[in-house]
Amino acid sequence: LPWNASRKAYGLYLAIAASTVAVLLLDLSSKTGLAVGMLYVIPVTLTLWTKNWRFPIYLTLVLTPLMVFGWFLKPPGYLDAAVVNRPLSIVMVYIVSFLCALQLWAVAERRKVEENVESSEEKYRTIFETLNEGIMTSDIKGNITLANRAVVEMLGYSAEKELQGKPALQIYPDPEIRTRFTELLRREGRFRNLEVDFKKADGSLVPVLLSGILQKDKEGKWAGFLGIFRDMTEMKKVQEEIRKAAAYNRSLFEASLDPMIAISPEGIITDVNSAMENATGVDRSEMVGFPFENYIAQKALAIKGYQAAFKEGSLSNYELELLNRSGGRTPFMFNASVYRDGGGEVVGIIFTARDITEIRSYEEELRRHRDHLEELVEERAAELRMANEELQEKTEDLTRSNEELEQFAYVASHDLQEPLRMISSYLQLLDRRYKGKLDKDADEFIFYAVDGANRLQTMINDLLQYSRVETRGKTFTAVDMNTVMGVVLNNLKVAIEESGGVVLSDPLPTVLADEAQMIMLLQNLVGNAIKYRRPDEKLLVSVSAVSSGQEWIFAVKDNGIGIDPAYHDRIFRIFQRLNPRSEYEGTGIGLAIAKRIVDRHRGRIWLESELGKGSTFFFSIMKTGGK
Amino acid sequence: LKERINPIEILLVEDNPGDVRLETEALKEGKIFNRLSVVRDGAEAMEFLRKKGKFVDVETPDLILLDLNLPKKDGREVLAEIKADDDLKRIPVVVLTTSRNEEDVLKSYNLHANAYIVKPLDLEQFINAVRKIEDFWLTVVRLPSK
Repeated sequence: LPWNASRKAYGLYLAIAASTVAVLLLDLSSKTGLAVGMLYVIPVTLTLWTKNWRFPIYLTLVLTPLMVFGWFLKPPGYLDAAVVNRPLSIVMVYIVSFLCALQLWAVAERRKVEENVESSEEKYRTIFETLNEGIMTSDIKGNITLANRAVVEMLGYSAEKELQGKPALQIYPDPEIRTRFTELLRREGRFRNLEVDFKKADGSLVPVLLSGILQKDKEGKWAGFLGIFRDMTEMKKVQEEIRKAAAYNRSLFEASLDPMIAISPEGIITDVNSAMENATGVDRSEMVGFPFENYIAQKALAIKGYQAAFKEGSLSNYELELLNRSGGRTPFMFNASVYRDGGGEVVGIIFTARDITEIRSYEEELRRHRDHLEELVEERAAELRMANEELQEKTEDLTRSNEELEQFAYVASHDLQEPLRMISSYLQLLDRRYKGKLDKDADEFIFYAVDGANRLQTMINDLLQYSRVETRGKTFTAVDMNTVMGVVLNNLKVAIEESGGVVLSDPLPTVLADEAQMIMLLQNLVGNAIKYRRPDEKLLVSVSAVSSGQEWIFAVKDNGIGIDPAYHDRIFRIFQRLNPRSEYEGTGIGLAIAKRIVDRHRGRIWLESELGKGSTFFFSIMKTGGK
Repeated sequence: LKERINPIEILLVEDNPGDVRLETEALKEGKIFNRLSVVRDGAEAMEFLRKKGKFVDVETPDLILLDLNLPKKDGREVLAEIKADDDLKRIPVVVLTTSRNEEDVLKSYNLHANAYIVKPLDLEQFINAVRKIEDFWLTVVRLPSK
């Protein structure tokens, strides 16, 4: 028993069981022979409500031993009657059971068939309703008989009822159209994919793609129409978009100032733009369908180019010359990339070509300029090289002549000493031995000879000193000019005392210089100041220094006789004298040596002076030592 | 000085005849009785000192006045040879030259010169210098006896 059966089923099973037990009890309480066994028909009959054709048979199989058992438990008084009676009852029960089973089976079968029909109808109904295509039927009178959900939605209604039974004409904006369709259907039986506008519930139009079939009844007579249609609104939009996109692409293609050429994988031109027409002077109808290389000067290069583009997917900055109708050539820079269909298959190449005539000419000009520039640079470099060589030669010459000069000065002064010493010595010996022993003239002659020899000796010594400024110069060290000044004052002590004057000095800096030469320099300047003092005025010499940028400027100021500006340059030359020897001693080497020392220190020497107004000598010394 | 019987022997090594005469004159004015021998170059000087050739009979000098710049063998070599010779190295050698070159001064003393004198330019000073040499080396100092 199915334990999960409904309450109603329980009742049924309870009734079957109860009636079975009741019949058994009745059978046991009465003598067999009575046709009590026949009563087992009751529970069997009850199985009719179980709706299971196997149930009466199972029940009967259960009841059979009970019937036999009942018969044995209460043996009949009438054996013959009982022998006939009980089997008859059993047979009866079996017959009823069989009939019941048959009945139940038949019912079950019919039910199955009905269910099939129902589910099939359901299926078609579902399809009918869920289909995106609208399906509508109309009868012979032109009234709508069926319309699916898609129709309702497509035409803007809320329920099928709003269409059912209504004239089909109401969905056509123009009755003519329907008339044409119905005539077409009656003539042809069907039509396919005709574009038509249907009128919606609110009066607006919806574009549809309509197919129709003529429906016939069983006798083959015209019974109505069936129409299937699809909403084309979206499709129309897409088509419009595609059309627009195509137009956009085309206008882009045509608007390009650069020639554009599309070719197939075989190298056949499939499309060109107007810029290409202009560039070649050939109409596009004459280009499309012809090989690409026909319009290129370098045919082999052109083929190689597009083959490379197909292989690599693109081509960049490929130079080719485009041929125009009259055979002229124009240089173009080609760029290309392949284009593919929806499936990704390469279907062609689009070339873009840029006229590089102008760029070429610019490049040419640039190259010319560059070449010219290089020439100029080369020329200048050569000039410079020559100038440099000249300079070097001159420097060498100068160095050599300087060296020679120094050598000359040194050797001359040095080697001149020997014979001079002889002249001088023997003149003196002559003077010593024979003075006053010869006549008066002889004494005078000897005097001038001795004097000349002595002066020559002094000059040679001066020259030697002058040349030694360079040849005997020491390396520069830090020199405290206060110390230098101290040495100078000490050296000139006697001269200062004799002059009765004063030499003052400000605090002086420390400079990088040759100390011995600094002493000589200052001593020469201060010595000059003392020497060329004014007899009528007390001598005052002051030494000072100021910082000026990269150098120190020293000043030696006196209140002496002064120097006419006309001679300011001359006084620094060797052996130049402004005053007669009889008044002031000296060869005139002092300032020349001073200048040479200052020059060696890369400094300058100059003076400010006027006759009778004293002099100030300035000299500068680089703070870095002239390096 | 009076004890001396023999004159003082001085060797002058000098190629310049002017200088020779000047030095002779200067020594002539000196108070010391001397005998001056003159050779004109270094080679001759060494021959003199070693008493070779024509100098077989000469006396070994008491003082040598040596010029540095000499023909054939110069004064520096002569000095080096004298000071390397055991028989001669005790003889005082006074370098008498025109060179003020510091190098020459240093080199001469390194070769054991006994004095280095730069010839004074002035006659008076020159005579004075020669006299002082004479005086110092021949009277003031005591030298080993020959």
